Amino acid sequence: MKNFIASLFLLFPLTLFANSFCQSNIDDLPIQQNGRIKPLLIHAGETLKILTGKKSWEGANPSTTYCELSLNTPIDLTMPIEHVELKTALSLTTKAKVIAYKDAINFKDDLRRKMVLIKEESSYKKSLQQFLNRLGLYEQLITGDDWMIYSKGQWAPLKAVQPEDVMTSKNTYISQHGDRYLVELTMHKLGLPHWALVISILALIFYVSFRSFYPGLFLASLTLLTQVTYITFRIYVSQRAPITNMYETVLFSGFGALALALIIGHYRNEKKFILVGLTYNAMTMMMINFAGGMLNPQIGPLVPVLRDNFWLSTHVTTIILSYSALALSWVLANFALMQKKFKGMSTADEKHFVDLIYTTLKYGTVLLGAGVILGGVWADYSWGRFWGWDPKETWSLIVLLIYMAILHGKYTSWIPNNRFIPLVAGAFLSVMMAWFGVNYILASGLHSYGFSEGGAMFLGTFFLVQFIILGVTLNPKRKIA
Amino acid sequence: MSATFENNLLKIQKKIGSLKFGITVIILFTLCMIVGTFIESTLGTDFANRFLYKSWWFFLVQFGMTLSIIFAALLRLPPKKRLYGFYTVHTGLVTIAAGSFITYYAGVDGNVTLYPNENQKEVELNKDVVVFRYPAQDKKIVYELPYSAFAKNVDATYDDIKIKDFLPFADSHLTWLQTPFISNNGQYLSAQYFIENSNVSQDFVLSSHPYAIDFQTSLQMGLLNIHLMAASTFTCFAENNPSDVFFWNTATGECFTPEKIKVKGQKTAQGTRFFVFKREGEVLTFLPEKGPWPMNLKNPKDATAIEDSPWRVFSKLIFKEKPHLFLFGKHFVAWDKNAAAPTWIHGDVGDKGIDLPWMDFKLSLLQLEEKKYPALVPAYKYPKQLNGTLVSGAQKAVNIEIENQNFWITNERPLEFMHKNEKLIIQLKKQTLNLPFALTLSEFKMDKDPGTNNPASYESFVKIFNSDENVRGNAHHVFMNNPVKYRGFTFYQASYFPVDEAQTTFGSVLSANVDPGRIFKYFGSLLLVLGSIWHHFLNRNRKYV
Repeated sequence: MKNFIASLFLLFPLTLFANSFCQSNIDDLPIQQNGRIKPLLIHAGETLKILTGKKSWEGANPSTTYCELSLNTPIDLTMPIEHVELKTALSLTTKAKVIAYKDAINFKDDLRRKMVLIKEESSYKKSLQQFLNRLGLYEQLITGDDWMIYSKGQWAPLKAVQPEDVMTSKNTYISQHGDRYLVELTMHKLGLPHWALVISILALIFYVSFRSFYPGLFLASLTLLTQVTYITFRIYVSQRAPITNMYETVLFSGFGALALALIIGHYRNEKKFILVGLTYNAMTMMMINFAGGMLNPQIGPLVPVLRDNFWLSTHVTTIILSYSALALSWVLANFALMQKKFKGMSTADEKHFVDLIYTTLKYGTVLLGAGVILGGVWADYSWGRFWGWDPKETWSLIVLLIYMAILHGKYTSWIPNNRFIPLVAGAFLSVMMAWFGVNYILASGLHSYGFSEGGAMFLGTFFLVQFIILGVTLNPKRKIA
Repeated sequence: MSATFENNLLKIQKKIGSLKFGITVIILFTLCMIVGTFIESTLGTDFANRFLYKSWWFFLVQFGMTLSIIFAALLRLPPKKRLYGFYTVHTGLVTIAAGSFITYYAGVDGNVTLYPNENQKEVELNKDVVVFRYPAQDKKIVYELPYSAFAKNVDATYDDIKIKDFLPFADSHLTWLQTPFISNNGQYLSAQYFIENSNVSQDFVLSSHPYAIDFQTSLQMGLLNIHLMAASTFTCFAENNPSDVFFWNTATGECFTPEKIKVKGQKTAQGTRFFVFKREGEVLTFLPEKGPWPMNLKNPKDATAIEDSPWRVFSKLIFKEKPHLFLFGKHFVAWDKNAAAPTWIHGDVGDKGIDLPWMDFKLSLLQLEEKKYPALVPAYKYPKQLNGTLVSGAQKAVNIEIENQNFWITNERPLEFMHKNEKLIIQLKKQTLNLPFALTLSEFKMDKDPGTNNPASYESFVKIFNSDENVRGNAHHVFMNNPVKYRGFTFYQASYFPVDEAQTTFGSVLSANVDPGRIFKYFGSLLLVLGSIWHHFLNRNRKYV
């Protein structure tokens, strides 16, 4: 079949070839980009995501769209524009949300000149930078420069290879390097994150509505298994520990929290834990599936200092697992607050909640302490500096100390049970600050990922909702009659 | 010791060792850190360290915490089994604190910058110092500046040298200062111009004043060369004389072309052009293409320049090919080679802007001074950090008074001064430590991620040469997560930098470290983690009220 299409190319104009070739199954062609070999479908989806904000264009298979664009088929791709000043510079109305790439190209030189003249790092300058980057990628794509084909033992852009080489690139590559890269395609097609989300929510529904334990437990185990499988896939594809960017840490923390909840719940014979674990797990799964702007699933290359699987698996996993345990305490605390406010809670009940929260805090603080120290040892091993007051380092210490203050305070009259619960709920905000705030708001230091979209808004919303819950559920001081 | 004193002492101990005090000091410490991270995010790491993390009061907070930790354990003696974990944790914490203090006091933390195949013995540390060096006497005085975040009046005196103000973060601004003497025949000019076209717009300052050490008499802007010349030479420059040379007396300021004095150019046996004429009894010979000074041709084969003569020859031929702009304060001269008849054009640079014959440039004069000279004067500026580097307030400056004259010295350039007939070099730099051995970068390798320009890994091959032991060993391989240890020092790969324009050759930066407190910090950490697990284990069945 492929030979037939190849011969068609020789006889028919390029566009016709493009149509039939691009619509054939090319998902599994190997492509080298961002420092590694991956299936075309993955790269096509990532490229379209950068260019249009969506993983596919008008319902077509991303590989097909990518292929057509690379062969310069006229497709009216649009770029999302959010910044108001940028809209004005592009002669768009404030209501407009996108601009067609073919129109955007006309503004390239003008906006580049404008950007150079802006001295201050404003949000306008950043949006101009993003505009130019997207345009650059688009131009690279339509000239066939982005699509790297494996031919004659080397990687060359589409425009530099023969059409037959494109067809045979997959088999050539596999015969010389094996088909390991195809695992990523399987991972992608299985859609494990979607399934995990669905099953988590189903499990929750079973717990909350039907109050039946064993079906819920079964579903909880099933979603855990799904997530473990997904994480294992990612380890196999990326060849490193699964906690190297925000997406992966959120994913791992969700899995860790559910696993921890199941284990603790089993040993303490406490069914509530599973509900708590599922709640947090469902939240993280929703972020994984819907917060694509803030959490990027792309597997990219790591900076040199992170290329050490030993330290990654020890320091980072310990910290993320501590976040998982602390997250359980957070969910428990909020549950207790809401039950107390809307349903009523006896002193014995309250004591029980406090006991459960204390259990999670034990794991959380010990893991956090160990994680902070492992970070210091790693820094000492890499740079000879055990402690450098780096914002991420400092914030992890701040989190630890806040929880320590609360745990110490529990022994004094300052923090009776009814104050302990809201304090634990609020303390988790420091975890969010250390986890997200340092990267998205403080954006400096060794741990910075740059100011990403949506991160600041997400944090702001999170803080606001927690404050509202605290405000609503806290009892005003009883008036002594 | 009276009973009340003892009682009071006990009360204080109980207070410090109490839980509530402990929680208070933990919260205080935490608040300081929170503020610190925000300060670091906006004002930069250096400022945050100076203002907070390395300040005496933050140190006091940490000391208070350590006291609280110690007393908390001491007050809960004799030992009880359920508190074994607690004792271990607190001991661990104190050990870590002790280790950190030892590191702070006796440790070394600095950078070693290695250029390819060059010996390096200096470790650059963190403190700022002013170094006074008399190179003739081989005498060096080092003054350590205070580690402050704000401008500080140092007020330190040595002999008749006084260090006045230190600005740890500064930016320099163009200031016009009064000249203490009137220039020679108006030869010392300073001017600020503005040049623009559709792509760039820039203002620049040129000065021939001897005090204007921050400015030059010529400037290169892309392909365009701009020169500031003495005002008295304008008329000769502007002339379109066939020989394209003119003669100039720097002492009197007069200038004339060979055509004016009716002298013709001749050629030597080798074909080099020369001019000879007589002025006030003196015979002057010039070879314009060889040099600007009159030549001494006593020895025909070997012409030497008479450099102390006030006479000069200027050849305009060489300035016709590439774009050269000559400025004379208010006037300008340029060779317009694209005109119908190529000619030297000239005119007045006003403040409205005149058109130049290249790249649609427009030039205007902003300020012209003969009685003042331009200087870049530093002023304190709050630093701003972006992507790990300072974009504002990146300069350091110190104000020094010598022999009743004020000078600003920045970390960008040392100052040379004749102090009591001795050459004195004053430099504002970072404190350095001399190693007892030398490091040489024999090779630097960098791998990139396939298909990208990002560094995947980079490594240095460093040879260590120790003159005592006469050891010239093999190259040590230093890379990320793989340091090299030598004689108590540990060297880590920190970063790298390009040493050529093409960015093909790199120098390496290693961080040099001596940490005598390391073992305490590690041991304390172990106690901390094991102790906390032990504590929870011992109290696993204890129900809390």
